[in-house]
Amino acid sequence: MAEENRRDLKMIGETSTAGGIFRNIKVTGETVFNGDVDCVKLSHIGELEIKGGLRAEELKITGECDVQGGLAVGAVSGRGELKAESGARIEKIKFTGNIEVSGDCETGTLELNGAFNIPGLLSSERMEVQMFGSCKAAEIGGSNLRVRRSRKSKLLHLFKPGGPIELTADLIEGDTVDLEYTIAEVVRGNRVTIGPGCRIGRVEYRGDYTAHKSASVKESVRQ
Amino acid sequence: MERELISKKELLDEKGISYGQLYRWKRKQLIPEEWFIRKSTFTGQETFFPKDLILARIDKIMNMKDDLSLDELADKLSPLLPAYEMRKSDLEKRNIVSSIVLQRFASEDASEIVYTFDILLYFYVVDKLLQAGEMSMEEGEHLLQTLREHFPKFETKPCDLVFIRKMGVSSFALLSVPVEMYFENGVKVVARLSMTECIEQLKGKLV
Repeated sequence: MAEENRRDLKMIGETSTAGGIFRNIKVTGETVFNGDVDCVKLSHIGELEIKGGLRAEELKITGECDVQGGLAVGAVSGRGELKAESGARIEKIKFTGNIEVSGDCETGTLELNGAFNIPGLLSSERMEVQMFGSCKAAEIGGSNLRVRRSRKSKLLHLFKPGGPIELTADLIEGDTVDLEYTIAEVVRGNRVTIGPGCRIGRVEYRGDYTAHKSASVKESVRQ
Repeated sequence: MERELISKKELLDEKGISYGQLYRWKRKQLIPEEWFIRKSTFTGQETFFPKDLILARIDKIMNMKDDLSLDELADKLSPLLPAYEMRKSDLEKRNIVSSIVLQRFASEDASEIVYTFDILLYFYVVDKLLQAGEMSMEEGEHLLQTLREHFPKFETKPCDLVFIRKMGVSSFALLSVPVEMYFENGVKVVARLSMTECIEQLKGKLV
């Protein structure tokens, strides 16, 4: 019944509005929503701030998006910066840029070219990250986890020096874990591949385990 | 009451599930957030679960996941009160709540009256305690009143019902979990029920 009342919303320029329930939202420019937003599709260009939660089937970002409440989205795509300040639950992300989530970030598939900073849990069924900057999470869990350092990042680093391009986490757990340039205390998995530039405290594995010669692993235990 | 815990590793071994499944179920909210208990051990942080709850839940998920999609399953397991309603006569016929309870506490309601889920839940809880022989009929009445008055205040938050008795005087309390409670000497905790579990059990019976 609520579905029929959904209307489209289009805004251009420096705008602010209350939240609400919409069908498609298209905003360009600097936009502030002062409450919860529930929509089918939200696409935006520019700066978007939502001072509430966001629930959407699709979110397309070009620019900056800052959500203060909970974020529950079916699919996220685009490039820029995504900030969620009280947790995120996203089915599918294909994103270029920086993701920052305070709280847990739970995803179905995560394809990211860029960097992330998640002080809680990052979980994903299929995670593929190309690191362009320093990535941080307290805990990473899921089934297939793959972390790579982008080849281009070295070049980029020359022009725009920042922190070291590596992933830092306390704990990484997955069925298949394939890491590069990662610093972690504990890595657990069925199949674990430790690539170049890793510094791992302890690896616990069940099936296969390989480590690159330049990686440092303090101890590895088969269970 | 100290709950027995099981570590994540033991759980995966015992049930033969993968990390991926566990995280997927967590994401789909099939396993409640508050069951993930972090503790530090000598190998660093470890996650533990309340053993009886998680084992039962995982069995349930494994049994039902072939017939239902994960989202349907989440609906079934979520602590939200579903929109089920039932006629009093059906309630009696299907033996969800014993006829004694209905006679005693709902005798003035006509048999075609439709109960909402929360009312059904109250009857179910009262019935459960009566059947277990832990509570008398008069106490049942107090319990019903307590639930009617206070249970809606918890909204969707998980809560426990505690039933204590001292020197033959009984009282009820509803508390949001997780919580630790200690009583003075002479207090006997007659029963402690997780309302969330009761909701699930009742849902299981109604569907």
